[in-house]
Amino acid sequence: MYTPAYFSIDREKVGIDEKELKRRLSVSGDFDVSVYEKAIKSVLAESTPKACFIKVPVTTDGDEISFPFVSFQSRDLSKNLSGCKEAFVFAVTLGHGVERLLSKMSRLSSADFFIYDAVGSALAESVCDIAEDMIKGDIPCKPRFSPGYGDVPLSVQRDVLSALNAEKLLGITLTETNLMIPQKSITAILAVSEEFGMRNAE
Amino acid sequence: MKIKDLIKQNRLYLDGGTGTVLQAKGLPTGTPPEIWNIENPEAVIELHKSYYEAGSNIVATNTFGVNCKKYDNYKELFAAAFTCAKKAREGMGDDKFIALDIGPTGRLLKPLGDLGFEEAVEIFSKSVIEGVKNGADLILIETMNDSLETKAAVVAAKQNSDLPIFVTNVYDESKKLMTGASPLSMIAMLEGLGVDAIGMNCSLGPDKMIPIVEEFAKYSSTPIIVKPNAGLPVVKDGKTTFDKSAEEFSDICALLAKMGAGILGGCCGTSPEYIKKLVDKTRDLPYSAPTEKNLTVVSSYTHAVTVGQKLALIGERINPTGKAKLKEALRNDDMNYLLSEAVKQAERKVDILDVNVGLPEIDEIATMKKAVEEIQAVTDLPLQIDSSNPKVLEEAMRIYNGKPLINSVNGTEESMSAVLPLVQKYGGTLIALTLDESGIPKTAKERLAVAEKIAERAKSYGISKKDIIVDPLALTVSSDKDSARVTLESIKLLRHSGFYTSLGVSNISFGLPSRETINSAFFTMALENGLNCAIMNPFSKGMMDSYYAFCALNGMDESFESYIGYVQSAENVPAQAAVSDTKQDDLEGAIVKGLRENARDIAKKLLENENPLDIINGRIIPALNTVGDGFEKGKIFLPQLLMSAESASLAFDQIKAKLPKGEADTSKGVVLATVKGDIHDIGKNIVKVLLESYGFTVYDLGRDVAPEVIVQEANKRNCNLVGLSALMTTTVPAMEETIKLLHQNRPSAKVMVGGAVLNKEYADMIKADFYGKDAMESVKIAQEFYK
Repeated sequence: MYTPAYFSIDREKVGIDEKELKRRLSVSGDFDVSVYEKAIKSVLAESTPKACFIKVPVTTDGDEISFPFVSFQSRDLSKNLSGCKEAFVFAVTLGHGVERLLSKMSRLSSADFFIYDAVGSALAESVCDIAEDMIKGDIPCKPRFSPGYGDVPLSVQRDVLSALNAEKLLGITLTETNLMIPQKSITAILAVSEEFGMRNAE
Repeated sequence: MKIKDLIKQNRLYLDGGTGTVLQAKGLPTGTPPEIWNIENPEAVIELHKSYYEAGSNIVATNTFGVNCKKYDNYKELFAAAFTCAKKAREGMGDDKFIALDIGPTGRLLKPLGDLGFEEAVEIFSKSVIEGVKNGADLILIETMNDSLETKAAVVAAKQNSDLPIFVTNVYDESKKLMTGASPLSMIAMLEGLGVDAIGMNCSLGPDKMIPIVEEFAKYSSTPIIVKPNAGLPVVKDGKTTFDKSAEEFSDICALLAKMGAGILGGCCGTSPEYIKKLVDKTRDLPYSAPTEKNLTVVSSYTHAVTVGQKLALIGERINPTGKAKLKEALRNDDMNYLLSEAVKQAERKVDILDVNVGLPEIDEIATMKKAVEEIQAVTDLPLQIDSSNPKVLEEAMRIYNGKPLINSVNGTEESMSAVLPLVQKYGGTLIALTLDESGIPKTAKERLAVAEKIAERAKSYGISKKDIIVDPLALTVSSDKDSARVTLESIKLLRHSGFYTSLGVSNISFGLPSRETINSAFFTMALENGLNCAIMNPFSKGMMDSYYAFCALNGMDESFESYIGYVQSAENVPAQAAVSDTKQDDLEGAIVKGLRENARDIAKKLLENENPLDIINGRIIPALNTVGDGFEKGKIFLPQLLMSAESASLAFDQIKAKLPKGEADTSKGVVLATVKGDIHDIGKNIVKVLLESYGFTVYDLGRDVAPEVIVQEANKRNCNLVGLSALMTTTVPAMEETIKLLHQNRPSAKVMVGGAVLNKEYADMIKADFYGKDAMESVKIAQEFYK
């Protein structure tokens, strides 16, 4: 049985990753983050960051990857998983308040919407980093991997969210085209790299 | 005895967890429990039976995850689920019931999600029909995270059955649904819809539900359902368990029962053992159903406004009467103006927004629905749906997220028989105008009589007096010197007869000079006589002064906080302070720097002395070119480009109004949309603001737009340039389909496409006419196209 555990993250502890924000805003060269202070504050004020996770066995056979709840093909992820027998699967979200705020901005100002959306994305990454640290603790893990990233099919999202009970626990739903709402949500697979010896077998 | 009667007299028990119990019986992880209705019915029967034996009166069918979208064989799954529940009930007493269990669809409703309200109603309707067919005793709508989806489920249940309806939502520790609703707003909406029992389930353990049950006990006139989890999940030795034992769980549930929870059960992590202990510890506690709280409440998807507790200001600005700009916007199907009015009024701290879109030449039903949906996307204030057409009221009440205020019903037979059934069906608080077939009575006593007639008639529809707010009508004092006095007297009389009152205050001064002077004085007098709601202009300084001063003088403003806050905000008029950032006439500078309010104000000022076209060609366009060049050279970045573009658009708006007729070039139109299935509107919005800044008229159809709709709008606007955006590889096929349909049905139209996943080759492959690598490119395409 893999019943997901979940927790909230104190938004006071969520900081903005300037590099990430810069990337999201498509800005290069000098970057003055203070220009975006108001947007960062507004998005943070509406956010209710939460996460949920499970720890599950995983097997790979060539590019075929099998979790207890879904199997699929991915060369990129199978490389990432090589030598691993277990993985954390987790989801984070900034919550519906941020989704509402972005929906509002999209109707009122394209410029503000662009900035707020970038801030939301950057904050979601920060939340994901915090959640990852809390979930893995001292356990050494590979870099996290998200559905839709590389050649991991986006359709896996539905099985991942369902295994995580993410609709009930975090309020994350999918559109018919497998996009997450709230949009500032991230799912990820975090391979446990305990079995160092297995690496050589590949 | 029937359930509806039982819940008024007895404590009832629901069942506990399903998934965890079935998993213990061998249900593999990842297999949805409902599959076992067919594959392992014995286990499901055993589960139900064990709950009945533990003391549950009501067992919910194992259909939480079943609906017609998830399963093609949903009918078979429902039938099998009922067969299991009925078998389990065999030989039990006659106080054992079967509830059709309905869970969420798994999709979020528009405007945040992609599921339409009617589509949701249809999905739930199919489930309800199966429940009725298979002999359900009641409908349990549970684990709902979203108020609008909850409403869709209840509407479906009411449309397709007469069964009792129980509803539980998921609250978190902030005492709100994940999508924002407070207990009172949910209670208001659900009591308005006439459900039989309401409450909470899942997410929290019983201890964490105490504060939420407290709120329910305070506000609910309807029996309260509480179905907690077995505490919080904790990971122990790699396994997740819940932290409350059956003993602890049932102890706290006994406390909840004493607080007023009348229908008890368990959710995740609970088992028959939990239910048995819960029944044992609460069976002998005295029970009384909740009393009538008599609260007059309107609500949105986040919060409620309780009339009578605070003077409710109802912003009147969204009403086309006498507003040329709004009329024009409505005719052009342009929601932007209306949305900015909504947001500005909200900033003036009104409590409710009136929404009236009645214009003879437009489709009022479609416009009202769109307005309600869009306004609810930018503000969480409750709305007053205002129309003289009952059909418009009905369609808007149906999709409104919360319990609306309805403006209005009056004492004529025609009005009462048309409007009252709507409130019975969808819920709402009514504004009742004191007029009937014989017109507006001359005296306060007669106006009260009309109010009483309406209330009496409403009662026959099950609508209680608390849901009626009387508008005794403010008539122009200039045509009848006694009219103000009669209205004020009516307010007082109505108040003594137990009615709350509302007034369209400014009608009083019609035809007189300096109307604000009369309005403000009359407003204060009406407040002194006990007025509860005022439909008014929140930008009227006189009216707002009266309101804040009255509250302060009347002991309603503890330590004068509101008054002082109001005075300070009125002193800080932002427009004047901001202009100092740039020179008074430097429009170019304001645009380049992206100072939006400055650009607007400077343009307004320049128009006093300069030719509108000179301002465009001599100032705005050069400024935009400067920014555009900088962007292309990598010196200026997207955020600044967009700020500049928006500044230019605001300046443009000022100028457009002053252009002589014929010179405002509306022929340069561009239809924009993000294609079906794609909910990213960033790229599309960027293109929009840039095109607008260069003076193009943009028809923004939003995101997730079906190909047919795009063709239809291009035809309607007689527009030959269509811009499509897609951000996902998975939605490019929808783009291709749209292009095909456009080329077939509107051969004169050209399509430009853009988006992260596209490139020139891909764009050619799907037969797009133009490919815009970035937003600036789209401006060039449009300029070239309209050359």
